Amino acid sequence: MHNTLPKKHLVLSLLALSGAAGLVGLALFFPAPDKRPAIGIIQTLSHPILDIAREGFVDAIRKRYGNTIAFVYHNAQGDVNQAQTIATSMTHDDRIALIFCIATRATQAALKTGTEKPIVFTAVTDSSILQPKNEHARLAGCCDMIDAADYVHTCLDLFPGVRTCAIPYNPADQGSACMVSTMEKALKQRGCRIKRFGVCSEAELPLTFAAACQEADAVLCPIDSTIGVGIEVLAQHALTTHTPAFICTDNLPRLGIAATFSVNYYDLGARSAAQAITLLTQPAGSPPPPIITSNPGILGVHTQTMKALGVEASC
Amino acid sequence: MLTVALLHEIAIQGCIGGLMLLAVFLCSEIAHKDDLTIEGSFSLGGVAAILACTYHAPLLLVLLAATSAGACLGVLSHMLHTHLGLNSIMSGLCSTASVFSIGLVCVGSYATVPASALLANGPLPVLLQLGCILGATFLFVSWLLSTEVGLCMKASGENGLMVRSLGKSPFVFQSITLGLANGSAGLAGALFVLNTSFFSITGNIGMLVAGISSLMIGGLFTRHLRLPLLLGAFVYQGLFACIISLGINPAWNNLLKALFIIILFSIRTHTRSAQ
Repeated sequence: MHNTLPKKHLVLSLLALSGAAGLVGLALFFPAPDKRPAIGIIQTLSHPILDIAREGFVDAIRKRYGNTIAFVYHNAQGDVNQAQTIATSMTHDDRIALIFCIATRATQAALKTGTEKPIVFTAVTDSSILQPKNEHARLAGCCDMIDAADYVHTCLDLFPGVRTCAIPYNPADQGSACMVSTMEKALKQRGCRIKRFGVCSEAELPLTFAAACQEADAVLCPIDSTIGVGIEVLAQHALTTHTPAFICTDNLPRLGIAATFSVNYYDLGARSAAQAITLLTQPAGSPPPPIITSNPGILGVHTQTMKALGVEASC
Repeated sequence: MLTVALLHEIAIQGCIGGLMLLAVFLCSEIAHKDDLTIEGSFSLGGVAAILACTYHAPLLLVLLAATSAGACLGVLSHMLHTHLGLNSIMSGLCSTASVFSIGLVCVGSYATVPASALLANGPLPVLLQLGCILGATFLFVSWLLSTEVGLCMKASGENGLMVRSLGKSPFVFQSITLGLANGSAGLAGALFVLNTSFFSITGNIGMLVAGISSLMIGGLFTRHLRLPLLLGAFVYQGLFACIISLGINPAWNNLLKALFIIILFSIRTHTRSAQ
């Protein structure tokens, strides 16, 4: 009896101590609730260009409001249902004054909630597919669509001898399919034959790019997230086969890719932030700023690749 | 039209697909289990490869790390099934979902391989390197299955009670089989990353389907673990190359792929019934 009592005390003391330590840990781990008004950010999935667009948005908002506004950031990691759950929770969060959506699926999820809160999007390729549930939705944003015809003409001006063009794209990506249609019209105008190459998953990229570089004089990629991750593979094949390859997913020049024709995603995020500021400051009932549906592309050429392809370029 | 360069690419992808085929074969034919972990192991192999490359590890160590990571995931997933009572499909889904987060934390959604670590910059041509790795894995698995351990692995998949009655643990042998299968998938993931030079968090999507389809096609040639079985992976890649070379609307690609597989199976069924 005498022997067990101190042990019990010891166990109880240890339990109390670990409980207290746990509470302290919890208090440190979970900071006090933030009372500041917030902007909810829903990102469709993790992708370098989408991350850059988010950075552009956050930096522009911070520049305007400093630390007086908070950000509630969630990433749906490509899951449509998860995006919907995040959007619904943001709609019911009183702190959130505006919802910022990155890429199409996140924007569609936010619009589906029918919220009265203003919604600003970025990096959506084709805004015509966005259908608000609420007729009076206050929607603004910047598409990442470039002038597809201008893209085609610029590429063909660099390589006038091109007769057959390969277009690899994901047929399941609505924005990409829409851009491909516009590109096809422009290519037909220039008398080029078009070969479409469908890619449904990233595992199919190596073989598709190999086929595209083999069967065409040039490869023109649209804005497409599936194609976007495999640019390095395209560069390898284009370099081996001496095929001019063009991309508009990002503007990072790399060996093997002749030229890029893209928007600056940081600027795109910043421009979306300007629209968000307008929506937050304008009186209720004012019309939202117009959606920016297309951007002029910025041409960037890889001098070494162009030289290997027999074209002298200095820009 | 299938040019030499395209055939070369088919062979490269076929070697990687061959490892996935081996993984699916071990799970479905030896362990008699539908293991969805394979898709996660492919991704984890890629993550391990990227991490090993950042520490400038030599190729052998990179591949060893990827294989071990895949094998560990396979065993863990099996333990979730046996020790926690999770349905085998659920344990596979949980493991694959966990790998997604692990990948995001460790290397992010997208990462590139340093040029020095690429297979293309290795001492031998890429196809030869991949062929040797596939050949070595195939020989090792074939040898293992012919040993006493291999017999127990097969028996554990077919009748665990019988193995237990012999005083051996079916759990251990099932773990070896699934570890081996997922190790093979991890190796495939690493080779895919080292060949294409990029890792994408969603890059594993479709790899399990490719492995299963390859095994089904390989099953047309042989039902046992012999070299013709591996042909399935090459035929599957060739099939895909033919479809994309047809130049029809890409939206029909997957339907065509399915139709080709159905036709191949119909031929096999009719040939066997005629015999």
